[in-house]
Amino acid sequence: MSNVVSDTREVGLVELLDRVLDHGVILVGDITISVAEVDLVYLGLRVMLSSVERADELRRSAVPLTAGKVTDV
Amino acid sequence: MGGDRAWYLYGVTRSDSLIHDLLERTRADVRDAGEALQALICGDLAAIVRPVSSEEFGPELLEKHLQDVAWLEAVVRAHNDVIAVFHRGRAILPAKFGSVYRSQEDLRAALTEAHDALVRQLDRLTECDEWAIHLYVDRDVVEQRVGEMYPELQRLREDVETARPGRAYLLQRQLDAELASATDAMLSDVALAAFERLQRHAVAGETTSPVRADDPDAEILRAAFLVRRHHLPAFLSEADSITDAGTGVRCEYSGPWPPYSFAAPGDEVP
Repeated sequence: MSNVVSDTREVGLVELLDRVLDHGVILVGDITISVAEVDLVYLGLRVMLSSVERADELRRSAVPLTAGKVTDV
Repeated sequence: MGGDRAWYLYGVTRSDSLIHDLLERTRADVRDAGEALQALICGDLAAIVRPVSSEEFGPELLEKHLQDVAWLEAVVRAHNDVIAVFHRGRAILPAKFGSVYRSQEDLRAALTEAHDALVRQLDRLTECDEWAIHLYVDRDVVEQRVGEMYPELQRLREDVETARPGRAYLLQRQLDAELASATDAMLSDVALAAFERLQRHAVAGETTSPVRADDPDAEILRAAFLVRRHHLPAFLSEADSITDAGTGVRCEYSGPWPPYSFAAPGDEVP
């Protein structure tokens, strides 16, 4: 995944949410969205998306992992 | 557009003669969100905003929206796309996602209050990008290396092989526990060392997520660094040199990002 992204449109959703959702400047004022609400959503989403991402990683590495275990036995 | 008009804030940048050219370019580059973009000028600052319906971002609809991954992805991508166009040309402080103001007057008041601190933060972030770093280890490789490194673990392993079954079982459990704790210690050393190596080429760095242990291919460090553009080659070559199949360590990165993690005036940027 080591990527220099000249266009961040190519980046995966988890990485994007990690950058965008729980950071940034908060200016006090009459904000309609409760920022705390977004943070809660972010935490929940991240757990969900991380497990999706994790499943993808496992799927990608499934073959070598199994092979490794077989040779160990 | 239902409901009253509200103002979605993307970020804050310096107000100058180029701001309207940049707005034009962003309108052309970013579909949907782009066309309605406006700059709200306040002193030396320009807030990049677009009108939205207060209903769309109001409490009831928003709660539904936020659970809709497709909606969220579209809005988050548009948020990043707009900020990224500005970021390529100048420093911008990305706003916290979801900052929607009821009126321009509210936003202007907020900008006025924080004006000087925001200008200083923009100066600090000039010519800097954020880079995201992920450090992964193959725990099996690290564990094997740890096992060979400590003579007492090697002795324990020899004892396991020569002991009688009952005692061998107990010794094996002791070996497993000691190996696991020595491996954990090694992993936290590896993460810390990598962070410090990268930090040397960065203006600032912060870890963004806790360590995920007990995983055969564990992510042991997730971090963000603020890197000056002319230090980038050194930073990336450091990142590449951390990856080492022999030690089971792999360093991945993405960027350049707008400085999301370093935007707030409270964020420590020397």
